[in-house]
Amino acid sequence: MFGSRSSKGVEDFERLTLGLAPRLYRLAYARLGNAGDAEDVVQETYLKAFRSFSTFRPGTNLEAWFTRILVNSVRDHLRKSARSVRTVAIADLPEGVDLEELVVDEISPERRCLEAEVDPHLQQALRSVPAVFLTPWLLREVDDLSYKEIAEALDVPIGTVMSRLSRARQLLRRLLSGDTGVAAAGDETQAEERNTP
Amino acid sequence: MKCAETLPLLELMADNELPVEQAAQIVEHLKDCNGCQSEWDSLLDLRNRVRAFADAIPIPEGLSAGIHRNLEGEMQPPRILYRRSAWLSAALAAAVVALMLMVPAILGPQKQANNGAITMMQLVAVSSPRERQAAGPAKPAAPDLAALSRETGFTVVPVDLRGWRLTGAATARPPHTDDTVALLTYTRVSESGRSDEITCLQTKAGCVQWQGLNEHLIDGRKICCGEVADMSVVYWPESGRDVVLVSALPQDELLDLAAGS
Repeated sequence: MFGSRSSKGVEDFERLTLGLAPRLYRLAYARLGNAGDAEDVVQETYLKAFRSFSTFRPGTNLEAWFTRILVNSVRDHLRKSARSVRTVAIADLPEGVDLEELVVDEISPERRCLEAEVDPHLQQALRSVPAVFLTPWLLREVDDLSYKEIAEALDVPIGTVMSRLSRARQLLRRLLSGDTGVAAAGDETQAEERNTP
Repeated sequence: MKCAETLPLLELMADNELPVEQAAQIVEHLKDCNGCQSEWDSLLDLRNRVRAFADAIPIPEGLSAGIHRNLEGEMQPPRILYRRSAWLSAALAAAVVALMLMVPAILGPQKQANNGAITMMQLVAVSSPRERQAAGPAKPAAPDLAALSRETGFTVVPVDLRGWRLTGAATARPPHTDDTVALLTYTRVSESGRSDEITCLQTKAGCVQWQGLNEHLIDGRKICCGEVADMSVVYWPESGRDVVLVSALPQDELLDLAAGS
């Protein structure tokens, strides 16, 4: 039986799903920009999937099911990160420390390395596109999912998938062409993002 | 085929979502149209760039081994000595709820002043169908929300829980309170055939004592979540009413639903 909580259950689960791990990791990395966070989210995704594997119906789309769990895990992770803001009292700082040295760089060292090597403009653009548009676009372009599969993974209608893909492409192309008006367009989409699933 | 017809279809063709016959017409058009060809190239260029980036992301060597370790860890018996087993948790929860409902019988018919506040425990107690019945003044499903609103004295508004269906509506009075709350029942039948349920309780604005829950600010909304008597609860205030979700689902799943509502 799927989801059996035994060593055999783990074995069956891994046999069916471990092949998805690299794809899920790349998607998580593209969204989070950090190897440690991406790995954590993938691990969490597998645990969540394993715990609820009994609800998965054999023969339905395993990849879309897993992707949906990953997308939710990424969203939770980003929410948690946004909430955990660390502060340091200025009075506690040792003498001679330059405040600017304490500014947390959101770009991880490995991401910085990767950016230096692979298409820095694209990566800069990816960071500027709201997740509500970027996620379906990554699922389409990187994971090669069909509109139907993306709709299943994100639990939105196919028409919504199409409009979000189109918007992502429009934003990315403008960003990559150096259109300075895109920042404002991105801001507009933030409001839209808040109001969409 | 004209450019005005071709351009909107290029993305569909790039995504393999266009019928072969239509794609063939577009290919013909591209042969003679530099503008549309350039648009097509631009689409493919963007795809190639992001795929090159994705391919360059190194996969951690220990990824699969880490997943395996975590899954094996799931199979280990809990090592925390004070961790309660599922049956013990359920029994404790039932005992707490039963004790709450027995208090009036033990103490007599006198009411305990609550100053219009309703605790999470009272809401959890009234959310279970059995306890709802035991709580006394529960009424059958109202024919419409307007009737429900008249009974409760505030406007009851169904919440939009994606993937869940509103299957019942009733009013009830939590134990030891004078307030009438609305109970909306949402159900979902999982692929395995199991039926999950969420109770959405709505009270007058400002009635719910949510202290003790974890407070989150999500997309500008205050949403609080926690666990009460082994049930997950999520609370948020709305204009004119307080909303509480109670379910046996994991907290994070309930929080997600609330955030998306």
